[in-house]
Amino acid sequence: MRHTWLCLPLLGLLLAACDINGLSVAQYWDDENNEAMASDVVDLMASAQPPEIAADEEGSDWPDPFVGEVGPVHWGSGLLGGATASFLGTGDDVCILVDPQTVWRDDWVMTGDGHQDDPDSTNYLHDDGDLDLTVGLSADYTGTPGEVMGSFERTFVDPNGVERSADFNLCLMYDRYGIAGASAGRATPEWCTLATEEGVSYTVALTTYSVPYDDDRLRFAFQMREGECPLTVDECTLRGDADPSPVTLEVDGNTYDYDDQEERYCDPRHL
Amino acid sequence: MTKRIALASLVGALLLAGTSCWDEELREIDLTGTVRIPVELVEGGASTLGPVYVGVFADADTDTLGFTYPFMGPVLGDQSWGNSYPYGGTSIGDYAFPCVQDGKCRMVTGRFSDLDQVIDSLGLGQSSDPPWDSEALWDICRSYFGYTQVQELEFIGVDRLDFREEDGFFVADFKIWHVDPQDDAEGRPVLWAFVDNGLETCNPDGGESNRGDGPWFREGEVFPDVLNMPGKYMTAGDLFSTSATELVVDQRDGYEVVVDGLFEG
Repeated sequence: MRHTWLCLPLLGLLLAACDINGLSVAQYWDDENNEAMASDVVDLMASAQPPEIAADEEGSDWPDPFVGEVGPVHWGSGLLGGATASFLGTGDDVCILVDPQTVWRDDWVMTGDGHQDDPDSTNYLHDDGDLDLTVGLSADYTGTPGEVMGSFERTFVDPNGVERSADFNLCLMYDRYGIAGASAGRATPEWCTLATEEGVSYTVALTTYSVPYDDDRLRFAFQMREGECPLTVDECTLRGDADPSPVTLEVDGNTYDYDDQEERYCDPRHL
Repeated sequence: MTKRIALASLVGALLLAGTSCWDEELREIDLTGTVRIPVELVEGGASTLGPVYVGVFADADTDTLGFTYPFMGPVLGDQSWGNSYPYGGTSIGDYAFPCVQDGKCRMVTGRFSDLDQVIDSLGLGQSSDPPWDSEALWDICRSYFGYTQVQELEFIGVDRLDFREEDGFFVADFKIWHVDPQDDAEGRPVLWAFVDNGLETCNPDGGESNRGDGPWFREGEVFPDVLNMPGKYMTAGDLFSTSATELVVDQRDGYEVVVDGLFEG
């Protein structure tokens, strides 16, 4: 009883503790602005020239793709980032292609000390990222364009009354063993053909998996085409996903200027 | 001191007794039973049977496809089959690599008792001069796997044969591990099985890399979605259950799955 006063400081500590903002230790919390860092979610249909289905005109090349950009994702917040687009089904096949920044070359390797020995691609390791492509009925999409990324994962009840989850993503990519559900890695295009119902709304979700280290901005080239996708899709099928950073090469005393790494890769004049 | 030891012993014994009573309350159980295949459906004998896949599914019906097949979820994209969302399953027999590439994806465990049977069945080394006998194949196997005993080969052995003949059926035991039997569901899950006699479920581009010298190849392995989409792999000549076996609440053993239908493609 004599030492009851000793409890007073403890009470003070307890009250002070109530004022601690636990969010300050969360990795997605911006202490400077005192707010959560939201993941970047872009609605491509709200852009000045939104993407639309490119018509297959015989004898002419495909038009230039839509080039967009997404920012970082704060995984700690549990929120996905990315971009969405939508289109109305044509009643026929539609091909969806996306090529994230920039180029993946596994023959450009680091040296033992962790540095590139290819002087014109010093930024190579830091300027690519990864987007994952899914497409489905807009009715199945769980996100809100421009606000929150979603998915096409829904649930259904099986004949036993057991709730099961099912992925209603219609953009099926196959792995080397023919199993659906594959996804390409860094800077590598993803694409699929899907049969559409005429007049039905479809949503394309480009979910950010990683962004370049150098500027936290991931460029991508994106196109929706009439008909089936080409048999071969590679880095050069869609152009425009490289940062507009000129590359100059000196080879055998000659100088070669390229607009960017993608041009160097797709239209090499120095070889 | 004696009292303390006695007390410590008592506490220890209580703790041990407590752990033995611990119930993790897992929903998953192991199911056992037999698969029965009418002998008249298997012209070449049990050694010609492909892998038997036994699955636990939400349901199976004949109306949807014209033959008894597990419940399917939605058919998505350009796929021909929907996912059957199995609750669990197993196989009787697995693909094994019989030491030579000619036998890749053609050898199922639990079908042969010795190497002579393997050579006869797969027609291995017939074009060699002289044609292979069991000793010649064992030489290759020994070199390839680095084994010292023929018993180490997983695809032969009298005590490894899966099937026995009983009352006009080839019968094999199965055990399905860790199934959620959905005992509190409205309906009852079923057991349904098919025999892949066409060996379509083997992926020649998967499995272990070759262990010997020579050109690189893979030994083959089963595809991972066989129970999810059995129909993807069923071809003419395969066998399937024409009536599924319903799971009984709280019953774990003694199930009988009859595989009595010939799939005609």
